[in-house]
Amino acid sequence: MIKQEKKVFTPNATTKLLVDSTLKILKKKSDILDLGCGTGYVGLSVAKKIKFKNNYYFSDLSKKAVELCKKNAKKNRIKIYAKVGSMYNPWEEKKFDLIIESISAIAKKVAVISPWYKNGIPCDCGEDGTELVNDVLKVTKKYLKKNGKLIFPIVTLSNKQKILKTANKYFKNVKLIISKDWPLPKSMYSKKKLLERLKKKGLISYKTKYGLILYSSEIYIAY
Amino acid sequence: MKKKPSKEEIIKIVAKILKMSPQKIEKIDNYEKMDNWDSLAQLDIISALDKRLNGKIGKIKNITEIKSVKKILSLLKKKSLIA
Repeated sequence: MIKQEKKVFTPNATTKLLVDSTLKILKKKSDILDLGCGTGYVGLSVAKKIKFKNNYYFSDLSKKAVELCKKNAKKNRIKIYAKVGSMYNPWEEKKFDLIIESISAIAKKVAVISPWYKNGIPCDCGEDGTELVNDVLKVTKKYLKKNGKLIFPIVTLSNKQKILKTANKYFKNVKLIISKDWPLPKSMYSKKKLLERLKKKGLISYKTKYGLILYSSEIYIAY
Repeated sequence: MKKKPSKEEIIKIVAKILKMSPQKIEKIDNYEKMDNWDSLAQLDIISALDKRLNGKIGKIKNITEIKSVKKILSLLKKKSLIA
C-alpha cells in the first residue's frame, strides 16, 4: 500500500510501466536508486515484488516527497535509504547497479494544462520537457557501477527525439523495453489548438485514433 | 478472414476488459458511472473491438461517444458487423 499526498506527484500509468520494466530486467541482487522518487511507488513496488534482497536508495527534490516515501517504506516494512536533493546531489560518492529515473519530463505548456502537476507539484523541465531528463542523462554514467544500467521513461508529450539523441550520445546502448499508448485526459481536449501548435513545432508528439488523442509512454534501458 | 462475431462474443470482449461478468455488463446503461471506467478502458474496448472487426471500428464516426454495450451492439448491428 503506497500512500499518496496532494503535494506529491501521484503515480500514474507511466510510473506503473517503470515498475514492470524494472521487474523485467532485474536479474540479480542490486543497489537500486529511485531518482525523483515521489511517493516511492516505483522502488517500493519493485521491492515488494522481487525476490532479491536489494539495497534501495531514494531521492527527490521535494522534502515532502522524501518524507512520504520514508513513511511508505516503513508501512511496507522495507528498509531504504532516502535523501532530499536535486538530481544526483545526495549521492556524490555512491554508485548503483540500477538507476530508475522518474523525474518530470513533459513540455511546460502541457504540464500547465494537465491534471498531473497541480497543488504546487513542480514540472520545470523546459519548453519541450527535456531539460531535467537531459541533465540526468549527461551525468548518470558517473553514478553507475561497471555494467550498471539506467531505466528511464519518455512521455511523448516532450521532445522524444531530443531525449533519445542525448541518451545515445552518453550511452553505448539505448533500448526500448515497453511502449504503451494512453488517451489524453478529456480535460485537456479544450486546449487542442495549443497541443497542435506544440506538435507542429516538434516540441511534443501524439497521434489521433478513434477520435481520441493518444500519447505514448516509452520505457528505455541505457547502459 | 474471420467470420462476423456474435452478440455474445462482443459482450465477452467488453466484459473481459472491464473485469465484470457478461451478465452484469449488459445491464449497465453508461460505463462512465462505473468505478473502473476511465479513458484507458474506453481505448482498450475500442481497440479490442477494432481488432476483432478487422479495423472497421476505426472508420465509425463518434465511436468514442458510445458508452454502453447495448449501444455498441445496436451500432454494430446497424453497420452489419455482427452475426
